[in-house]
Amino acid sequence: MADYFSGFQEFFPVILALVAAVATGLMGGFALMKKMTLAGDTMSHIALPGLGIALIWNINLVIGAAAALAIGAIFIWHIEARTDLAVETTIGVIFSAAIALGVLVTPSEEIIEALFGGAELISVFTLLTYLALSLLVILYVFRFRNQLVLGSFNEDLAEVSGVKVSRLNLVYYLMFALTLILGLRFLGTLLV
Amino acid sequence: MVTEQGMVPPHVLAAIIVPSNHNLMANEAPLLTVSGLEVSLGDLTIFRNLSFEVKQGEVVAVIGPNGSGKTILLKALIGLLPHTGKISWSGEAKIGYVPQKIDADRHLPVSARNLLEAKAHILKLPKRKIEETIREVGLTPEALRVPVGHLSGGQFQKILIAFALLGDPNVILFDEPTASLDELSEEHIYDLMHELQDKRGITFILVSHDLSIINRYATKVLCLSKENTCYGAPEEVLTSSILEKLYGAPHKFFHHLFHKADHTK
Repeated sequence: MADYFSGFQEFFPVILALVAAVATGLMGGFALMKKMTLAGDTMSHIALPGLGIALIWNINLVIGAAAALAIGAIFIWHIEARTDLAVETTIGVIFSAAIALGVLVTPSEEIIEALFGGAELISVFTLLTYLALSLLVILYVFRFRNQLVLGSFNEDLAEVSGVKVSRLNLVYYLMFALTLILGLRFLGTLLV
Repeated sequence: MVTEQGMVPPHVLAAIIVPSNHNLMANEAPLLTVSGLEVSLGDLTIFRNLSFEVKQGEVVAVIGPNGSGKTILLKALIGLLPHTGKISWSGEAKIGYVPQKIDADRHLPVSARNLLEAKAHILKLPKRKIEETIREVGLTPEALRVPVGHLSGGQFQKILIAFALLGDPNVILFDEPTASLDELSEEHIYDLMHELQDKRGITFILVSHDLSIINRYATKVLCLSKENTCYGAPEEVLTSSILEKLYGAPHKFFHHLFHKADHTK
């Protein structure tokens, strides 16, 4: 099967870029409405400690980044639900802490790659994984767009209309983190 | 002793006639029961030990000085704020909520139609419900099209009302219904409220400072302050001594208001 695909392998990055663009574009629209556009930039940095630990333990970088981002997203959601702080403020605090932690744990010879990404060849497995993740994000936005519209307009009105705002936000942050992972591998934490 | 022929003893009469109306009220379970409600924000207790009942079709006006927690009460009733004490809505309560003020981001690329469609979709309502609601509130096609952040205060208020009405609620919590409306729109909103109350028996819980409106529409008045809360029919509650205690303002101010209110009746 790998042989069959190998002829197309040079197109994999293009396919991935296109699908990831659709997914990030859809998420980005709602990020704009939630006033967390810059949050994407900073939030991706939260992946750094995960990348560092993954490098040390020699496990898949994506898994390390995903775990760090998921933990970060849950932290952000938790703080946001209990205070009136803007999401951007919360993310700002978590991100600085994550960067500090990340720089401490990432082996120095690897840090450049972690920060700026690498453009190695993409395997079929990676392609399929990323396609599936992108599709998940796209389906999520499609399925929850109405809840997201109301939630970004006014959370009280959304709640009264039957939207479980807290849960919606948590899933949104996790999806947001997932979207970041889509770009992380190729662009690095700094450039997503 | 012989009872006069044909006469029913008075106590029997009472049992037959009076309850026909009374029983109906008594059997009707309250739509909302609040008991021992206390809401605090951080260390600050907004109000405590608040108890009242609301029956279907009533119009409850919530009054009280600034900062007494009128908006907070509405939010607590919908479950948007943590509280202690009991708030129980009957099973058939369908709540609509019109908030006092929303800071709509001027750049939010969302129109009123988007909002109404989003709600209709979540509640799985047919499209025609949107059109009905739009007609009911008297919104212009123009107001539906532009981003909500670009609307005037009055138009925005109407959209919030339309949003609350969508989905046929039987109780509407209304925070300062006409605070940002011109006189004509204000009349329109009260007419609409009256109509909804008459035709559909919608229950209203509204925050208002307008005593003439309260006198005209409210069946119950709930006055809110940290220590003195009271609940009853307008003529019982809206006495100058209670109001003076509530607002801590001189007597004659309310006299003046009351005279005004009586004239508008």
